[in-house]
Amino acid sequence: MTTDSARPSFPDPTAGGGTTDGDGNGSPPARSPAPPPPGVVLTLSGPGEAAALTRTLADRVGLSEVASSADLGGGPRGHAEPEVMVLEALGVAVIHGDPDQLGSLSVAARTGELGVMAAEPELVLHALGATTLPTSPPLDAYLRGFHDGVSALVAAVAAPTGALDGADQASGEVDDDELTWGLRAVGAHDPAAGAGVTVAVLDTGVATAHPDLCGRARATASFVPGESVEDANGHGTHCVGTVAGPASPTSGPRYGVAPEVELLVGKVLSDGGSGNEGWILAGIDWALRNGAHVVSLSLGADVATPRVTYEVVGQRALERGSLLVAAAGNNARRSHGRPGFVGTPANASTVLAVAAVDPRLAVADFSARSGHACGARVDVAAPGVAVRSAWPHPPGYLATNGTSMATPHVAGLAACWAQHGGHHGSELWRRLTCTASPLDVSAADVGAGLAVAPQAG
Amino acid sequence: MTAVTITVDDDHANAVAEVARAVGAAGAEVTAVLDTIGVVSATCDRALVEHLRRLPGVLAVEVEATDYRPR
Repeated sequence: MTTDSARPSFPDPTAGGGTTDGDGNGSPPARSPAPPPPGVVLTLSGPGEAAALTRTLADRVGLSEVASSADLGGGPRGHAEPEVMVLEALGVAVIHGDPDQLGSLSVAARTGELGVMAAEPELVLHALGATTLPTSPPLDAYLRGFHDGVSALVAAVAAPTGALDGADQASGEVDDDELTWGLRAVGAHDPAAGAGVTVAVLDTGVATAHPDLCGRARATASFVPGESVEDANGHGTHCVGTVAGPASPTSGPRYGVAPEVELLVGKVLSDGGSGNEGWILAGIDWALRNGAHVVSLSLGADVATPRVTYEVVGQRALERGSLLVAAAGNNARRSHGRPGFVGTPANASTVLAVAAVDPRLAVADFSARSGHACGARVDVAAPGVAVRSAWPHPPGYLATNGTSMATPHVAGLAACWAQHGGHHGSELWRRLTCTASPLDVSAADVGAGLAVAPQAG
Repeated sequence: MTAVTITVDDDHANAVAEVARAVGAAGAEVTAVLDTIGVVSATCDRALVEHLRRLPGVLAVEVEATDYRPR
């Protein structure tokens, strides 16, 4: 399924924020009747807090129509939506109301009156394809969205599968028999690319039994408490595949930019697809200690202000001859007039920020634009739409979207340049940007342009 | 308790453990000492943050951003 990767702090009830109304793949518009406006999702301190919350909502905000998770299921319901839906097992409540009520809710959440851990805009989620949804009895657009929303909440809490970054399954028709469209676009043909260069991929881990990646990593480590490096999410495996997938995969076209790279895999995002800064920093430290020339970070937080830590860490990495490459972010909805902004850690001036382009080399709808803060710019672009790579679950491959998918292309290309000319650190940064192929797009969107591989001769 | 990321200044880049000890002595619980990148992770009362910022060798103390996601 797809989910809006933008994570605004709290919905402006007058702005209609929080709706994933475009998933970048030309999904048809919602059928009538139109879904109700998005509400607010409250994360409670614990499952036992539901009763106290409903009392507070009734007293403070005037929301008194309460339903519980026991009411879910059993087929389509009417269009009358309860104001408060309590998902007791998850410790989550979904609130709908008029703008005044949501405004009061916003104030109560900010002042701590509700005693909740988080108040976030409700996301309307879309399935990847019709086959992932029940077809009988027919469900209207809103119930499909509700179904997916609940599924996503359950997935986030329990045993998530699938990418959670705005990813979207694509047909793969843009690829040919030999190479993915992305590898062809960046000129990654060399089967020995990356030899002698170490790249670390810090993400959700890797599917160690995947036939294309089995035994591939020189070292692995998990920085997520209680989880091994095994990737139950898929995102990390996809990124690893784009960096280091084999020259001759088990099935389909080649999708790895640098098949001979020396690979490190660090798990810094949980199987649920989230991570704490401490895990990420520990992963970067580990990667540098293990000799990584390039660190691929297909992750981020929608924090517009650059953080001192990444500014300094990026600089220290460069001084050691290493390059941090990070995803610019997927918080744009350009088709809706929202260009987004580069989030952390990509917005550090010492971290190379990567935007996503589609097979037409147009900037992807979701790809974040440069911000105004110092360093908060896009530095380079790479293929990030309909990107085929390895996946832990059958059939073993997935084509998906995201600046996450563009980032490992650049990490792999960085390895190619390091191998080709012995470039490292700041010099490697310069080689990537100076050799990038200019695009007929604003530099605020794609930086220097499309990163490309060194060509023979 | 608040999770914080403490960036060690360049003058103490080779003395990260020493800075970490000072952070601990100030009342924070050090959760990771990252020598290679010059960072100390810790948890502490939010009221202690300003004090930590004044310790020798500390360049910055930032409240940890916790909601990193795949992109």
